[in-house]
Amino acid sequence: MILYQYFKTSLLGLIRTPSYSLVTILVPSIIFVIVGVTFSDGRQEANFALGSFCVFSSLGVAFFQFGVGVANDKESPWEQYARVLPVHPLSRLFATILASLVFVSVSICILIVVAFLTTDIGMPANSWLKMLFGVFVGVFPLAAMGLTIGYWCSPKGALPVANLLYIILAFLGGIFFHPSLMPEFMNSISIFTPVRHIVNLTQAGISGDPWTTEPFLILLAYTILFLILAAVGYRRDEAKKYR
Amino acid sequence: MVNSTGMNANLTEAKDINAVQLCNIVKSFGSTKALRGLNLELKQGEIHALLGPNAAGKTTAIGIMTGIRKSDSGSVSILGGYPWEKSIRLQVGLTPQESGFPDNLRVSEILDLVKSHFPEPMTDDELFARFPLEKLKNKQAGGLSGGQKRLLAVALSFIGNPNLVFLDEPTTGLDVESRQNIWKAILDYRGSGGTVVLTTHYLEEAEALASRIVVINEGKKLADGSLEQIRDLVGSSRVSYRGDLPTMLDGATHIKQQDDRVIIITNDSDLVIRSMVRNDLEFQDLQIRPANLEEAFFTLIDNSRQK
Repeated sequence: MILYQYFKTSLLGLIRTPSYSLVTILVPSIIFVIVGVTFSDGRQEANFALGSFCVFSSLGVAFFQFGVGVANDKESPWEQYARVLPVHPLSRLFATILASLVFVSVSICILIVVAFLTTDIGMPANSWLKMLFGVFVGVFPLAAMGLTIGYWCSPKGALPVANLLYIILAFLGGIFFHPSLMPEFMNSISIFTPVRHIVNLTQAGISGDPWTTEPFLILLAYTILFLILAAVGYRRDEAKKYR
Repeated sequence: MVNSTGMNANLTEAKDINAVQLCNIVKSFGSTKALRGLNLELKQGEIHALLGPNAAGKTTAIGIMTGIRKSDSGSVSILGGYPWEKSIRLQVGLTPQESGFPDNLRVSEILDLVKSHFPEPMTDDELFARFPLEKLKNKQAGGLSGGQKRLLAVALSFIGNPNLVFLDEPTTGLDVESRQNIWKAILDYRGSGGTVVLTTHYLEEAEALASRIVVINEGKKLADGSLEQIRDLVGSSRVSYRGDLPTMLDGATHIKQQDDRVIIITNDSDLVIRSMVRNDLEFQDLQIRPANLEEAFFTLIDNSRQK
């Protein structure tokens, strides 16, 4: 089956580049130990930090594995070959997304174990589910942003661009410290980042506050916006290369 | 030997549909005109060799036939359809450019991946019987030599049991044994009814494999036909000697100096010898032999440049 084959090869390709995949998987746990733990005085604070760092995990995979990966692939002769094989490009994309989801899951599992070992986390099952669901919803806008980076940046340019946006979004999005601790001017910028809304979703999930439809709609809008941007970038790239 | 599972069982019923039909294809890259009105009709069941000097437009032509590139104008039809249609792509075999593979995938994983696109692909046994890849199947592509990569690339073009295979320089940089393996696989494939379109730098390769030759220069077709027809086009004999270089000679289609010998390509060697004697040319060490494709090819190209 084509989809399985692309999923398998995509996953194998990532696993066999451990310098890359291990860093992507472990960075959230490492920074959690350095930064997150200090913000975790108290069980609920630790829970909030964990939720935010789960978003950090998907941000990393979406940008580095997915975004930079797409940017690298698009110049490769193998990718040009795959283009003329009888398979829809969206099937290949879907398989790549599935492989990235596996990485997000592994990264988050490690993070949860680390959080258990280093902090006093704990919440009802209902909160766990809602937190993880919030993280899952966040994967879509982040993956769309990764795709946009991938299709608009050259292979050399993608890594620094991804790095820059990764840091900025993590700070402004309220991953490293709780949004309520942000200075006012920072908060006013923060609410324009998709990351902030994903973080808000996980926080509401953890605290048990009822979810409103607003953050979902905002994240849907971001997903559509970045998918359109990515599609424009894709067409632009195709037109340049295969005219 | 050719094959037991019925390669090409799904051959397009109408054998009279051309494998490739290009009508007046024009293609520019910026100010460079790669193709200037290329017309081609390639029949099924043949091995077609596209020949031409560097930058003649061969690779661009293949790119348009395989749907990698789009022409500026003109029409293209592959097995009666557009090259980018899925139903056509299922019947066509291709090699990756520059034999580029994902470095950290194993040969067997790459084979399985490409196989999964086609409804009736070759089995591993069939594939390994044609291409000596069995020993390499657990190696990662990044660890293959250039020749091994090329072998894998060519194998991939046949793996889906296609009706039509495009091979861009299939044996460039290969040792003699690997080249023989690939030649044999190509000839076997034709024996089972398949069609091949290949480009090559080696005219001996075209001579060994091709049943039809197309000569392309400066983005246009210069000549096409069987090997014999191409040779006869410019002269079937080659006369050479050491001595005076004539500017013109009755019966000669092409005259050139090569090292210390004068080489004359002609359809009538007797007439050439008579006019050499009549014109009182100095000559020693006279040799006459049939012209080969290479001589015919360079004569064609030279003559087109002089015009």
